Amino acid sequence: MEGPPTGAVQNYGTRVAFLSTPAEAARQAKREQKLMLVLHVAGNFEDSCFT
Amino acid sequence: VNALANDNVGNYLNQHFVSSFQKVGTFKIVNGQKQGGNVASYFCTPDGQVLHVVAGPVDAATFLREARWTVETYKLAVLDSRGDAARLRAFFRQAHADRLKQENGLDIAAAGALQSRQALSLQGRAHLLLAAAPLVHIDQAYRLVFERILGEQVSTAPVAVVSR
Repeated sequence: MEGPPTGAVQNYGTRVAFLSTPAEAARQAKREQKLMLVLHVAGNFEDSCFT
Repeated sequence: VNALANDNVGNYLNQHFVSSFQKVGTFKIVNGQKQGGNVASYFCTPDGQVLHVVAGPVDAATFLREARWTVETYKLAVLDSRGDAARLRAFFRQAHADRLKQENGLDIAAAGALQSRQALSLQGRAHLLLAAAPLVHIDQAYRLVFERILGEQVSTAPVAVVSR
């Protein structure tokens, strides 16, 4: 049985809701039958998000 | 341009995806100016199979187009494959091959096609990778994408601030 997400959702200055880890996102995506978006970034996304 | 700050992009992503991020590289800040750094955006199944990847920063319209393409192609692939994993993989192989041909003029079924890969755009290289290895798991693809397609180094180093 899968538990609830453990981390808070944050936007980091974007319009997108981010979970703190890909593992947590994977669990929630499976539960909600959604796909998963994973950004691989150079640097600190929290401070300098860019795409 | 920060595509993820766009309302339409945010609404679409929040509706269809659960999102997260991971630091895989670094950059330098020299005299207040950023040097290096990049981003790869992976659209995956919940199991981490890569349906599509956007290599590098893009504008909001491009990001939204690629996210929509992923969602609609996945829905069609699920319908077509009827639970058969091999058919699902073959569907995505063909989908990426089609885009490679349409957008980059490269037919991977043609003789000598792979010798042309150096002339491809970043996104063309991403399509080539995913036509060759459709639904590859993200942990098997990320180093190749970050280092060979984007030209960055995978690194655990912190951001370095340098004043000269």
